[in-house]
Amino acid sequence: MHRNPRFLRWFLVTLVGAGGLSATVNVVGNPYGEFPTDLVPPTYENELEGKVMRFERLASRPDALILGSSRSTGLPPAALREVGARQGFNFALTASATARDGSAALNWSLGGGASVNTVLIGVEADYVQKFESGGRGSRARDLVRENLEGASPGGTEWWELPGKLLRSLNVAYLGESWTSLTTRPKERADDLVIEPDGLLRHPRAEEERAAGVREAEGWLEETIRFHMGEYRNFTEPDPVEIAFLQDLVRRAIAEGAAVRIFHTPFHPDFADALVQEDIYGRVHDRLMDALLSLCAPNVHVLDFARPESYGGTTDEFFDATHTDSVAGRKMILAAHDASLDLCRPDES
Amino acid sequence: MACEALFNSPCFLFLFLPATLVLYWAVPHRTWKVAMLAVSGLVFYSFWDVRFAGLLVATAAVDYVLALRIAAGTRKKLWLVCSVSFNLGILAVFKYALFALDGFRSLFAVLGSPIEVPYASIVLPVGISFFTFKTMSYTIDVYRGEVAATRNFLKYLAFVSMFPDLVAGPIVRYRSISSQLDELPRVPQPNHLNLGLYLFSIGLAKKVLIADTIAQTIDPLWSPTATLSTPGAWVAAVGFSLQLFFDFSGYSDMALGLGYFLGLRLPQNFDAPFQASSPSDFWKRWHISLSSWFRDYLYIPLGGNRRGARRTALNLMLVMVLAGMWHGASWTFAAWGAFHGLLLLGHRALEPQWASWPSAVQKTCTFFLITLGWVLFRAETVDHALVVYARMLVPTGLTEGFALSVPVLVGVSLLVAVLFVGPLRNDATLRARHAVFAAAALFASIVMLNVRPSPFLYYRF
Repeated sequence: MHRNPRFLRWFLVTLVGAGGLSATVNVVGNPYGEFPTDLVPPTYENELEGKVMRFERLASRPDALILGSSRSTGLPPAALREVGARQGFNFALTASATARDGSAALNWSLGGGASVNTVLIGVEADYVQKFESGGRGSRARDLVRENLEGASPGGTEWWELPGKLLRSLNVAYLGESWTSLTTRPKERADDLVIEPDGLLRHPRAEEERAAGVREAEGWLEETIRFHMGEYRNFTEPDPVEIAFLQDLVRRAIAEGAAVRIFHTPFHPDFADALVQEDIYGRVHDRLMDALLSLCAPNVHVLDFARPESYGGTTDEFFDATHTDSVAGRKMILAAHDASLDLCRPDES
Repeated sequence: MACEALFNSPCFLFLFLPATLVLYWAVPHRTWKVAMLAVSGLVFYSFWDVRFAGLLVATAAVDYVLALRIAAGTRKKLWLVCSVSFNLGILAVFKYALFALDGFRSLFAVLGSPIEVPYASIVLPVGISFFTFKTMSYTIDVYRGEVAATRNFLKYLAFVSMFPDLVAGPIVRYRSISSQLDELPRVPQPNHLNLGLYLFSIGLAKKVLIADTIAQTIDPLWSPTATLSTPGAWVAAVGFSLQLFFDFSGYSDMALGLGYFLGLRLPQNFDAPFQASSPSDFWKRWHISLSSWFRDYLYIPLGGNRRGARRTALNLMLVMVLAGMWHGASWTFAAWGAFHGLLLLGHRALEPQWASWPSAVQKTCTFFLITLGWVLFRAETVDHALVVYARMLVPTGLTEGFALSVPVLVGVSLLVAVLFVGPLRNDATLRARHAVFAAAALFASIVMLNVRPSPFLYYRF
């Protein structure tokens, strides 16, 4: 056997080189906005940090909160003033947020000085579904949890960087970084704006829709296909996520807030596709059963799965499941309509 | 970070292994290194189940004492019988008891007088077949006078519990490791470090990059409810033989690499089995430590091929069925062993004609025969295996429900297995290109590591 010091040298050079190159791609691409580099805008704007920053900048602590997944990020807190709230804040989170994230957001907000009278929660099958680690939005979700369930959110401290770098050395993260580096910054910068009250706006999508070109790009069909693929595997709400939803509701009631939980809307074409494949019952009815089990004093449950239920129209959809702030306002107002409250059908 | 007794888990790679190596090489005295070997093995085994670390120590202690009795010279045979009975008894209780109870239930039901045998649940200690065979080989070797019984229990415990080969082999024999434990280097040897890095990296890549990728694509084909066409059944069978090879030889490479990290040279377990030119050649290349164990401790003592054709046939069949059953208490493993027994007998009968065929034909025939055997190894039940055989051998159409990428992946893996995978000789010269290749393989494996690592296939044996 021959001694060969060159082997170890080359081994280490290659290993450190590959690691360094990958780390550089991740730090520069910075797809989740985790690293203190601003060379390219993150693929996923660090919406959590953005929302936390805006929450902290509010002149007064909010008395009304909107929680939910990306489908509730378009609900304008300003509309809450029309139903008596003083200051609303939209703390709905994207990246496949679930009830656990909503619970974390509520706890963080209460810890941050909010004294809430109203909590609006937009829910759909995804919000109470168990997502495997490594799946879509996994890292973004982990960040939400790390920050909201752990220490106070904020920027990355220097001692956190090695851990973040090591965690970023996986194929999924590298893929996101590559996407981040190869997508034109203009496309992303214009695609997501967080308003001071937490409302998420998508200026590019709004422009495309106003110009009538969005539908031509096949967004509706594409998102229907995507969601159908996910919902075909959906059997029933995950008991763990339902438990988080129950905790969330209990905590809000304990704070003296009225809780209004609503099923977020499906584009009618999407709803029809679900009915046609006979899975509407699974993704809608079983969820509504779970939501109705939460009925209690100060808890209101509403079903906005069909746009007509809150006076919405198909024009207000960006895709199969996401609506604009016009629809959001209608939902906020309808959520306060006692006649639509499924917990108290006798009052309708 | 949850720790598991898996070489491909983040805890092992980034916590257990570095900490163990730092401590191991930090202690200057050999005795302490031996102690580190024993303790680290027990800690590693405890990641799976701390209770069974006790079983490991008990097994080692019993065979240690019995070996000393055997070496004392009086009633040697009695003490050897005690040792073999003890080890086989452990296997019988933990591995075969439920299978035997099921057999009794079925037998009496068939005879028309069903009996009430209570249903029980027994946890199968991981790696039990490996460490009991290790300890058995020690007492048998002492009985034969091929190795001296050690009076150093720590050293013996280190031999039994050292983590590189603890749960999935190779089945190391005391006589091959004893002198190495006595002469452990005080500091890491550069050549050992190089070989360790190379083998460990290549082994991890075999597991994470190839075996796990094949598993993802062919596992659905192996579902008992899957409807297979003839091409699909062949893809499933060939795919599994490759998955098993890359998984198990990957583990073995990692074990050898870990051995080198600790200054130990463990025996090779594979020697390019996809280049085997006959069924008997296959068993000289596949899971060598097991086949040589059965050869040395069962086949030859039974008379081997020295007592006539009929006795040789009987010996071969018995050894191969038992080797099959070693893998698990199931009729599929017994059938797999019997299948290989028949292959070996068939090859013996046709050896002159077989030898006259061109080498490529011999190798191709061997590959297809071995692949047929893996169906029994992988199937859930014998009935399931028969369904797959029917699909493989009776053409049922060419349409298939899987993507083209599946046979392409299996084909490429086969090429890699045939053309590029061979054992690393101890006198191998590792050059810069080996270093670059190994480091790239290691990095790619780490990047592809799952949060939840998949266990090695041979862990369940």
